[in-house]
Amino acid sequence: MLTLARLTFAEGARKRVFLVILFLCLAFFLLYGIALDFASQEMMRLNALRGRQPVIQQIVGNQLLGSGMYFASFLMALLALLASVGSVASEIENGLLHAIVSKPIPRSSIILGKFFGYGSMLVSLGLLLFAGIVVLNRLYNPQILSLLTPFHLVYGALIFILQPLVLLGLSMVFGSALRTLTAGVVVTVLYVLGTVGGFLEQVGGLVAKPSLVNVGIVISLVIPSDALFRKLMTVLTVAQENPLASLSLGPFGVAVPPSNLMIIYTLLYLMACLGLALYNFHKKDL
Amino acid sequence: MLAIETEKLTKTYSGHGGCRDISLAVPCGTVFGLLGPNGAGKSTLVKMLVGLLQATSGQARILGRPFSDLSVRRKVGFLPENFRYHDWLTGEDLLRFHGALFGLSPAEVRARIPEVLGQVGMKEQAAQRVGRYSKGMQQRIGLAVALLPDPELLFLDEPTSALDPIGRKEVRELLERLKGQGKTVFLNSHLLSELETLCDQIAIIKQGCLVYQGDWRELARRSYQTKVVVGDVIPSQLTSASDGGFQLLAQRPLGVASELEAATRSEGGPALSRFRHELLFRIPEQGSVPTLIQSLVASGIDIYEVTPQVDSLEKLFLQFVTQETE
Repeated sequence: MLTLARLTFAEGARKRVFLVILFLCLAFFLLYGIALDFASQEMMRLNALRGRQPVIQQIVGNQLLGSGMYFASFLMALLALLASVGSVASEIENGLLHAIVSKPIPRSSIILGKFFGYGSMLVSLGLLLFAGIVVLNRLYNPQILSLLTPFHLVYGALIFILQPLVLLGLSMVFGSALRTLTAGVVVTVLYVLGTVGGFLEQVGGLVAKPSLVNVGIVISLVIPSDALFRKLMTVLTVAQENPLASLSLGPFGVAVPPSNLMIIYTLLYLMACLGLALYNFHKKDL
Repeated sequence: MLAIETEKLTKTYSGHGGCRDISLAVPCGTVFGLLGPNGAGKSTLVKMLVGLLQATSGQARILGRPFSDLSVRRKVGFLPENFRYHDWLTGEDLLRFHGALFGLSPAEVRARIPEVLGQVGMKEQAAQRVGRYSKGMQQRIGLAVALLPDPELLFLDEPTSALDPIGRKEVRELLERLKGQGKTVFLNSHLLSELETLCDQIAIIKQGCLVYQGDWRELARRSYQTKVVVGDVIPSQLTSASDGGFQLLAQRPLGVASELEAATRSEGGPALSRFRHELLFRIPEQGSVPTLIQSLVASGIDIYEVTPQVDSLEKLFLQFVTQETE
C-alpha cells in the first residue's frame, strides 16, 4: 500500500492541475494579502476618524476571513475533484491497472494506496493554504482571530482538510463504480448541491423558516462539504464565545452553525466512502 | 504438477458472452498456446486467471494453489494485451515500482533489473521515460515487468503485437530460452506461425467454449498424407497404388511442365505429360510410406521426391473454428 501511496503522491504532485492550483494559490495569497492590507488601512482610517468601530470590524473582518477560507476551500475542492476523479476510473479504462491488479497485492491496498497518496498531497497543500490565510489574517485582520486558541487552530485545520478529503472519498466511490466522465459529473453535482444546501440552510435560519433549514441539513448529510465550511468559520472565530458573532452574516457568515456532531458524522461519512470504494473495486471486473 | 488447472471455469456477463465451462490442464514447463477467433473469450479466460475478472463459477488452480490465493502471483508474470504503464516514470523506475509490488526486496530488485532489461534488449533505454518509448519498446518493458520476479508461469497476451520482425524473433528466442529453463508460458496470440514454432500444446476456444486442447502436432498427424514428385505417369500406373489402399487426393503438373502438358494434350499425346508431377496420397499410417513408394516403383513410375505432409496449425485452427458447433 505504501508503494502505491508514494507513487500516487508523486503522480498527483506531477499533474498539471496540481501545478496550476499551486500557481493559483500563490496568486491568491498575493491578491488576498493586498486586499487585507487595503481593508486594514481603511479600518485604521475609520478608527482615526470616528474612534474604534468593533461592529464594523466584526462584520468586515468576518467577511475577509470567510472569503479567504472559502476561496481556499474551493481551490482544494477543485484539486480533489480534478486530480483524483480519474485515478481509478480512467486507469481501469486505459488498462494501467491491469498490470497492477495482477500483482500479489490485495485490491484494497490499491484503493487505500491511492486514497492516502492523494490524501497526503491534499493535506499538505491544504495545511499550507490554511496556515497562509491564518497568518495573513493575524497580520492584517487580528481582531477576528482574537479569541483563537491553539485548540481552535488545530481543530480548524482538521475541518479545513476534511473538506477535500470528503470529496476525495466520493471520487473514489464513484470512480470505482462509474466511468471517468460520469464519476466527475456526479461528484461535481454533489459538491454544488452541498453549496446550495448550505445556502438554503443559512437563508432558512435568517428568515426563520425551519423547512428551509431542514432541507439544508438533509443536503449536508448527503454531502457535508458546505457544512464543514460553516463549522470551520465558527471554530476559527470561536463564535460561541464571541458576543458579536451574531453580526457575522453575509455570504461567508454562519446563521445556523453546525454542531460538533457534524464532524463526527463527516468522519464516519468518509470511512463509509472508503468502505464503499473498497467494496466497488473488490467486485470490479477489469 | 500442472501449472494451470481449471474446472468448468465460467465467466458470463448477464448470462451472455465471456467463456463457459473451461476445463483446462496446462503442464509445467510447456509453452501453451491459446487460440480462438476474435470475441471467442480468450482474453476473458486470461483475465480470470490473473485476477482481473471475477469468475461466475468454476474452479482454477495456478501452480497447485487456488487462483484466488494472492501469494501464488509472486511467481506469475503477466503481460496484458492493452499494456499501459506510468509514462512519467523511467524504465528503471517502472521496474523498481513493479518489483516492490511483486514483494521483491530492494536488493532483489537491483539484481533483477539489469537481467530483465538485458533479456528484452532495453538496457540502453532504461533511463528514458516510458512516455518517450515507441509502442514496441513499451511492449518490451512490459515483458521485462512480467519477467521481473523470475516467474514460474508467464501469461503473455499478444506479446509481439507491437514488435517489428526483429523484435518478434528476439521474443521468440526469449520464450524458447524460458522454455529451456523449465518455465511455463501461457501464450495468447493471433500469430499462428508464432504459436506453431513455440507451442507444444494448444487450446482452441470458440464461442466461449473449449473445442480442443492437446498437442497440436499429434492432431496434425491424425490425417497422414504424403506428397510424391514423379516423372512421366499414365493413369493406369496409378491404379496399383490405389489398390494398395493409398488414396490419390490430388495431382498437378509442376511449373513449366503444366504448359507442356497442355500442349501435348492438344497434340493428342498421353493424358499426362512427360514431365514431373506432384501426387498427393492419403496413407493409413506414417509407416506406410515405404509400401506406397514400392507400389509406385513397381508400377514403373520414376520417383524424384517424397515428402510426408503435416497439416499447419493454421489449417487445423481454421478447421476447428469454421465447422459448425455440434
